[in-house]
Amino acid sequence: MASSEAKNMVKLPPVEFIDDVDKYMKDKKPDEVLGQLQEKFQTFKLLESRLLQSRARMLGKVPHIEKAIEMVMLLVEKESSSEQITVDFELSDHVYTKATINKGTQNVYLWLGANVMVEYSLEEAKGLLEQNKINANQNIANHEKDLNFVRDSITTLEVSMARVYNWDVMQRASAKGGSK
Amino acid sequence: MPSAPNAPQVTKEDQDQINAFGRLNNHYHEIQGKIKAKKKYSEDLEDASNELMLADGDIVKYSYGFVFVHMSEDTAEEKLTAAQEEVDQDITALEGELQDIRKNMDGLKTTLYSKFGNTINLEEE
Repeated sequence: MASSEAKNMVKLPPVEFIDDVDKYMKDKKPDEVLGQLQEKFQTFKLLESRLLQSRARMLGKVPHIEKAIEMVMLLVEKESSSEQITVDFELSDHVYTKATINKGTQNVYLWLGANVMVEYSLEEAKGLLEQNKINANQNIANHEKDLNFVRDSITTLEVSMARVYNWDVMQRASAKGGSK
Repeated sequence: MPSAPNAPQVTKEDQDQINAFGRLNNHYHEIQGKIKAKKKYSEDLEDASNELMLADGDIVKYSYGFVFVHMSEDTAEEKLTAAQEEVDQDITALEGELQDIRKNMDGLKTTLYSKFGNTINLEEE
């Protein structure tokens, strides 16, 4: 469950804003410029969908961690009361059986991945899980930062494409008007 | 795409505002999705509470993490109420956030529309 995913996936340079289309388009072919913009646009779109996917994956993880925390909390609670708890737990899909957890259960086993389970005391387990949750949320926040950057780039590119396109149309219109 | 002959020039500032608007719009939809999910959960909890009232005072099994925990009806009732309160608070917070975003979006809309008129479209499709 230990997650240390890449902090910043975005290594693309920021999209430059076109200050003055007239100046920018000097000695350039509109079709080529539009093609380049389109290409960049595709790259960023791809990146966006990748970021969205990995964010969705991480968002899906958080409830699992929360469930685990809930369970550990229940065990901690039980330690301070005198009752034992009875639970139905899943043996296999749709097969449940009953189990009782006695007071004095101090340890839980956390699944760390890679077929490894490690025994922790309740407090340690709680700490670890909570740290995991914080890490996961931190990761999501980082992704959101990246997503914002990528989305700004996409919007800027969209606007740039529209402006270059309009510039071209106007160029043609005035050329036509001039030749008449 | 009709060309507007005297469309105003787009400045860096305008671009930044358009970007900001885009972000807010995305964020807006995400929060709407969250609220929807939370409301569903809140309704489920309410259903559970109602069912619990009809129960006959026996042990109930409360879904907890990955298992069902046996507990008395009263304890279950308490847990449900606590969960309900939490999720309702979350919803209120999210709705507040949604309103703030809406306000910001409306502000940007006014600015951008006043400059670009009908050469810009900021409405949902």
